[in-house]
Amino acid sequence: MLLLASAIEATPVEPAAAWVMLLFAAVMMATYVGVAVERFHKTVAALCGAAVLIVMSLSLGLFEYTKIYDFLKEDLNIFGVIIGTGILVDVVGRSGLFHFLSMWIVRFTGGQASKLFLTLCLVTFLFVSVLTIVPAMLILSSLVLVICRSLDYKPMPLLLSVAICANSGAIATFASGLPNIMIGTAAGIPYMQFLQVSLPYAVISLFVAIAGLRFFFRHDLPWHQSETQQAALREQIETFDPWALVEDRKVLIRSALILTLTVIGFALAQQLGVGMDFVAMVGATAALLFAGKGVEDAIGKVNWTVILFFMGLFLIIGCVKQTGALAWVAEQVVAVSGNRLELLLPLLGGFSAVASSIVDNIPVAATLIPIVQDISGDSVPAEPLWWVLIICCNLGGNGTPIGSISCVIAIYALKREANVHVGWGTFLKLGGSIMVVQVIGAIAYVMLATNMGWIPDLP
Amino acid sequence: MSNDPRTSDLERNVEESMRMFERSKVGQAVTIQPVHPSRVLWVVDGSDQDQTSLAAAKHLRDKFNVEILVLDARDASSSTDDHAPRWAKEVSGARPIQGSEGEAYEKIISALANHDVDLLIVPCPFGRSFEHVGTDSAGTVIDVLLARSTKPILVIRRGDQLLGECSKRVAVVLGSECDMANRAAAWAFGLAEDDATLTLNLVIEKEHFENIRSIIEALHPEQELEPKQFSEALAKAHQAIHREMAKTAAERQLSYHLLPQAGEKAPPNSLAAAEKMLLIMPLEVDDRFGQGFVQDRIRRSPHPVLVVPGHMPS
Repeated sequence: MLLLASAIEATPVEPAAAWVMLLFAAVMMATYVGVAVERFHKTVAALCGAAVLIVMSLSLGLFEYTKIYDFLKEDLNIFGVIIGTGILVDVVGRSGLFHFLSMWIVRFTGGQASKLFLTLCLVTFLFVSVLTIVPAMLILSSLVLVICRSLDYKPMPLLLSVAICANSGAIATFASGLPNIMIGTAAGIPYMQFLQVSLPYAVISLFVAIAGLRFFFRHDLPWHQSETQQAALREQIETFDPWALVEDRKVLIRSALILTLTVIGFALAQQLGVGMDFVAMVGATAALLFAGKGVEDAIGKVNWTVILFFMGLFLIIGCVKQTGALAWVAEQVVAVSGNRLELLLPLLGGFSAVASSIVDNIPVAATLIPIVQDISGDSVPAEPLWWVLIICCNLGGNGTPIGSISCVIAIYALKREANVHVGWGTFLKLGGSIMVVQVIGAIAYVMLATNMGWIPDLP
Repeated sequence: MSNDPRTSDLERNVEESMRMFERSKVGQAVTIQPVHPSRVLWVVDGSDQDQTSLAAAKHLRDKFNVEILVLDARDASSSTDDHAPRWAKEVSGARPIQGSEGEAYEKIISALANHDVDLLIVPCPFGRSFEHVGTDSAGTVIDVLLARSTKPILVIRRGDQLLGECSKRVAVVLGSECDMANRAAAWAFGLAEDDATLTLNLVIEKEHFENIRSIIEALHPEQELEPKQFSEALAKAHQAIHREMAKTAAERQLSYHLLPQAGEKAPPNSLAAAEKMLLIMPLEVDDRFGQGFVQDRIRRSPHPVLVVPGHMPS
């Protein structure tokens, strides 16, 4: 107990009575259940939970009303990143750049099943790391459906492969997923450290996924095709012209340039002494200025649902934190693990992965951030905990059909466009197995990296 | 699931993206061979628009080295001397020709019959002030030419809409299925500047759209039809020409957009608009609906309009 993190001592929270902690935790859990079962819209569930907890906090005199501005103030930069990247991705997406690139790359496969499978997995990884999951999945799932119709392939193997590889892409960089942005911002992790620590494991997890998918779908695609079949496929795929996807080449080039400069800006943000939110907003402004045709449209595409969802979550976490409940959980974790990293990492990694496969990984990350802040201290370095949280939160999405938005999109598209139903059993066998291997690998990787001194210190 | 707004968004986005990819399947389409003019009949009317027509003639001469025949088609009552020789001196490679007797449109039709030209340049409204007439009338000359001309007609409109500048943004406007659509697209590629943006505008007028919608909804009362569904249907109906234009544009490194516009605002811009554009419209001459559609666009257009007509009426 003496080894408890300094963060707890640094947070001047007077623990409330046990029943208050339990009550607040119950409301938080009820909200998360609401988010998971989608009985309500997840944003509505989060806002309802926030409203209830604020009313309870004020009634019990836990804090003054103005305290809630402090809860939100700490996370304003996340909103900046979400708004900035949202606009940028919309403008760049509408230029046809990623549609063009995906078709251009896919044509090189000649339509052969084995090459197509591998190419789609790699392209998915690349696109998600630059574009985030949702826009990348919309482009790639539609590409897979169109290509499969044209080449007469079953869409399920390729579409589920794209969905599962997307979660590997999501851990590649700071901006490739919302949990990364949240955790990276809370922990103050520079963009370059993502490339040093999470990108290598993103690649490893991708190959784990590719191997698992290739095995699982060994009977579902024509992996070996004759010369004649290959020639016929090549003829078919060459009927697609990637340039026909580009409306304006100048806009395409400008979009590519702005996106590249923004990514470079993210990488150099720390050296430049600015936040990621500033870089994202500058990128968005440049996109609106030089590459945007519909300014109103692009601004309208900002994901207000996610922003309000975050707002609700931050308020919920802030209220629960004020009761001392999260610090208590941290104390228990420390007590159980004896502050030993070799126990803390599997505990945190396993819990975050399983929780993320059931609930959205955003509330999981939001809840675990203050707990990790409390656990880490002089005797427990924070860095390995942050990395295991980032990696496992994202890879947990592979566990169930509702675990991540990429799987939701793929399964929905299969049902709607190809009339293929993917059951929980099928998905658990495929995604669940891959997730288990990836998460165990992630914990081992972070442990190894910590022992080898590969993980850089946080600034 | 479909009642969930998130699912509807997802559905819309996936479908939109799929349509984009499907439209890129242009490989089996043939490319369009661009058409350039080689011999042009330039008609002058004594109005301010002759200057604009002169700029168009010079542009065609510079770009395609065309031979230009100049015809003064003013009525005998309004012309005391022949302006054709004076205008012909303004452009190299131009020469005046003598008009026949009769109304302006008769002179033009007669000249078209007697000289083997492949493009006609004519101001609109003929012999009248563009500013005074505005969108109220395209004039008798244009009406008759739309009905009788076998040659493409480049209709000159507002003075600042010079052909050279307008050729950077070329819109092929289709109001219905038309056999001349490919020919019009060939002219569009022929006249487009090297860095031009081409569009294929598939148009259903708002009133027309409302009429069709009310008929379909009367047949299927449970069905609500959105403009987007019409736009999709339009895109499907014109897939062949779209593929050919997309492939040709890709080969020639031009920007190209397919714009289905059911019940939406479509080219031309308003008469006072500053934007420059060249409209290209195919016309089956014996198609009365098509004639009305083209005539209406010319009347409302500040931009030059190239009409590419089909066969003569019987």
